[in-house]
Amino acid sequence: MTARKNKWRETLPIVALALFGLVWMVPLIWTLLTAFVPTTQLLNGSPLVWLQSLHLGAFAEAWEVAPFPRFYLNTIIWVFGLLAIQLVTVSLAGFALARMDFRGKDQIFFLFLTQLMVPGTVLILPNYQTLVRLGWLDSYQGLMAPYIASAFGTFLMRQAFKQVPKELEEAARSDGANWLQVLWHVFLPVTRAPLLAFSIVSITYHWNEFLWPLLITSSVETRPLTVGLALLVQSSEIGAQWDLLGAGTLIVAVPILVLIALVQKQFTNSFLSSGIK
Amino acid sequence: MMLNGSIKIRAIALLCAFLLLIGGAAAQDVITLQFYYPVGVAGPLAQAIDGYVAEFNALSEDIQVEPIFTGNYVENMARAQAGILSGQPPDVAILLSTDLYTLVDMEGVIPLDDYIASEDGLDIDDFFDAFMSNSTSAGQVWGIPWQRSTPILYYNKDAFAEVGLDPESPPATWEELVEFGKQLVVSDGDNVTRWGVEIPTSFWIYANFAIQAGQHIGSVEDDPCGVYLDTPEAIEALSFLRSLQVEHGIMPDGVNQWGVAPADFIAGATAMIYHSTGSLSSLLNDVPFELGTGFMPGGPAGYGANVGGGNFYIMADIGQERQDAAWKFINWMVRPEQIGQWGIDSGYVAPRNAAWETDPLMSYAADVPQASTARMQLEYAVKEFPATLAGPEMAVITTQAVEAVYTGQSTPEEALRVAQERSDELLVQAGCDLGG
Amino acid sequence: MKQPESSQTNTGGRVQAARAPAFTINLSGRGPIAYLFLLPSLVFLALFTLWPIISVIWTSFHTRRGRSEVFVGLQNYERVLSDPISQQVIKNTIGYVTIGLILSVIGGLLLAILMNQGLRNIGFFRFPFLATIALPMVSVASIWLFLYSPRVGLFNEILGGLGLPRSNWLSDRELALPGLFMVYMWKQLGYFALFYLAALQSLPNDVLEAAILDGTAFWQKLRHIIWPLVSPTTYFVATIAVLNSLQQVDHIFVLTEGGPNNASNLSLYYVYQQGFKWFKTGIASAMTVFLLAVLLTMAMLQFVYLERRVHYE
Repeated sequence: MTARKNKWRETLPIVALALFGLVWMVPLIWTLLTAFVPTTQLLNGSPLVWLQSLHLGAFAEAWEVAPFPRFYLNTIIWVFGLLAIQLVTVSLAGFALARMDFRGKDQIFFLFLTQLMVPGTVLILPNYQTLVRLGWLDSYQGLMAPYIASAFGTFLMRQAFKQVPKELEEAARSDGANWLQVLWHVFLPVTRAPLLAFSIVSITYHWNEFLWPLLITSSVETRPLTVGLALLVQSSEIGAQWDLLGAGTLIVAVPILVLIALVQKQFTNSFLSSGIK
Repeated sequence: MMLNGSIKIRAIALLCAFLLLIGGAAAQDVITLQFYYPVGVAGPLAQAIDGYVAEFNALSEDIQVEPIFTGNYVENMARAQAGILSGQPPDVAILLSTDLYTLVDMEGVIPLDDYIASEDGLDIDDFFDAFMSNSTSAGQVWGIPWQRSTPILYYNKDAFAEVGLDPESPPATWEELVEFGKQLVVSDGDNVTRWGVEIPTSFWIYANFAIQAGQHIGSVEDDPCGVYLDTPEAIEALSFLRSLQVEHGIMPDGVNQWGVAPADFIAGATAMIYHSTGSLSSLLNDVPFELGTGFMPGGPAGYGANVGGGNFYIMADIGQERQDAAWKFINWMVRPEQIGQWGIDSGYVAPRNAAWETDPLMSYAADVPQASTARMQLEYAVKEFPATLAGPEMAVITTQAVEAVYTGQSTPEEALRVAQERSDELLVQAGCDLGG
Repeated sequence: MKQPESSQTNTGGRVQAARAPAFTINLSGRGPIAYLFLLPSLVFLALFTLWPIISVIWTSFHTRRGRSEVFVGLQNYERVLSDPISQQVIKNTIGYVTIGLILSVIGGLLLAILMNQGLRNIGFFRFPFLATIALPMVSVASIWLFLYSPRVGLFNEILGGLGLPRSNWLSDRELALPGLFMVYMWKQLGYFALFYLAALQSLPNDVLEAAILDGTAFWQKLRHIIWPLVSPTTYFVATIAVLNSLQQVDHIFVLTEGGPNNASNLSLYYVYQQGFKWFKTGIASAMTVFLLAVLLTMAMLQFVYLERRVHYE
């Protein structure tokens, strides 16, 4: 009796979660349908008709209508280029804040904290004006500039570096290694997990970013996927072609979906480790 | 063998260096023009534009044009303005004809009269008057019409036949619009499965109905400060539109979005829409029924419509040499055969008489009679609203008034009074003297 | 796992160090070198965090006439406070943020409890909630555009199929903002749940074991045991929720453009409209300063809270 009850208790949440998850999936499933089923069949036909009329035409058309390969390249360049720079800046700054004493530390700490609380999105207007003065509009460096210093990453690394035993550092120091060498050879190898966590968060955030790139970029050579998709959606010429929009949406989203499916656990942990400490 | 190979490599390297030198020397004489164009991504229209530009670049040795697709009209204008203010303007741009006053006010564009009168000139009188009315100010021409439009009626001929209406005679008056609309509505219980008509909630469409009621909500004259939203005729027009939703029940209640209307029309969810003539090509491609086109309906003051769309502008602050080059490009683009082809490709009204006398457009107009509707309507068409200062914001204010009425938030009187107040305030800020 | 790695590279470090004694002079002092390490970050912090705050305050006291900036004192602030549209925007934003805060906390916690149960057996069911976090908001909004579409969208198909009246979702004054909000929640709820999930997993097992699905007992336990235990996380989630919802703007571009008649206009979109569409940089700056004031106040509270927490620990 109790065993059965326990089993019921065990399964019910799973069933509830599964149902809830299924409902949660409906928009995604509907997108799949719009992309693979011609719009007229989707609107007037039954599921059986849908299955019979599956096609890839919308993808071919979307791929042709908008220069998605170029948009992919742009997104990859700006997202991963930025990440490479950030990994350097956050490691250095995090290390200084974690392991060094110097005058003005509190003030500098506070400056980082300010960035944490004032997200770049709020400062689009003045930052845009700064880019105009620097002549960095429509460039990759313009896209990256506001994010090169990352308070979030710096704090994450500071936290991680603080947990490295003092003996390790001292051993290296007594051997005559300088700070850069200590950081590179002692600290970074043991803080791969937070580095990876930061990378995953940074990639997801910037891959998905829209407003800043929309304002900064104006040419096909710099525009990322998100902006390309939004322009496709807004374009009144194809406002009626749901299948095209569905395909465009999937073209942008599928890499992320695949990534999540593959590294689900890692992804979860990244977001967790990033947030909680 | 080894020696051979190394010589080969050297020869190739030398050749490359040589070619680079030549290329470099040639590049110095070439002017590359930045051309801002309002379209999202490389859709069908962008492909057409790309094609024309490529043709121009191939023909021209010293001028190369680089088209930059910057989003919709509003984004395109914002980007051009940002460029002007920061001293990095594009060279040539297609912007709304109604942006003229804003552009002139910020000294961002140059008058084109000298070019028009020059040796490499243009017969400006050949362009339709309605389009030129939004392109001139203070006796000078500032823009050359390119993608110009006017709203027209699109209707489903099959649906007309189905309910016993004559598929060849679309509604010609407000009364007929109501009458036909009622016949065309199909209901399934409480749910309407086909509406009579769907009129997008937009200042640009509403302005036509105001003209039909006898009031141009902007000034027909060359007046950057004229806005007349709270007049009895303007109110009457908006009340009429609202009555289609509430009293007559032939139009979906609430806001009808610009992009949704054609989608609904194609899907058969509405039998008529009023939309830009620029939608003709895509509708012809997509509708699974026989497509009819007609004039905007006649109101108390008879037929009436406004024009719309974009003009070519040449920017200030780029230097004489680049401006000359920009004019060459524009003049090439608006040649009768070129702009006629553009009309065929896009559905926009070819804006000059001579274009309609070229073979391709004549035979196209014979094959596709719908293409001539907009041109014939031009006889009744006037200048577009908001040809005023602060135009982009004025457009939004007016659309918001229409939205407030369509959603039942305000009465037409109230909504238009608020809109008038707000636009007066904007005009005063922009430097207008409204006399108190 | 990590231990051998580090000792290995440690040896490498020694070798390197022996080769480059010259650097030790420059890089071994603690003071100056710290500034060198911080320099790249500080330069960009100064340019893109500190300077914009100063500059936006400056522009908020100016307005553009033709091509030049003119000092107008507090006029922009007065206009933002008195204009019915910006009032509406502020009202919308407060509502959006408040409801966002409440639902993020409650929904996030409940979903986390559910996930925590399912998790032990089948992690697969978490996928839907994770996937939405990682999707671009622009894609998400495009997806929902189909669902909301008045005549052909899924929601109205379902309502119609059930014989219920259809809605004009995004074009309705009452529904447009909730419509945007649903999109945001669909995308972000999993994110908030993740933080709670982590908190729950760090709790002793028996606290949760008995707690789940026992009718009234569940709510009792939730309120009196779980809720207090996860309160640090709640504070964190609340902060993130406010920050997040204030930044929401991408879906407005795709779905409503702030309409109908500003019913779904939010502060950041208003900044975009005023600043980038109509070049009212003064007005946009004044609104930005209001946003900054809110954020910095939150930062102060956060700082005080952290300070207190540090003392306790």
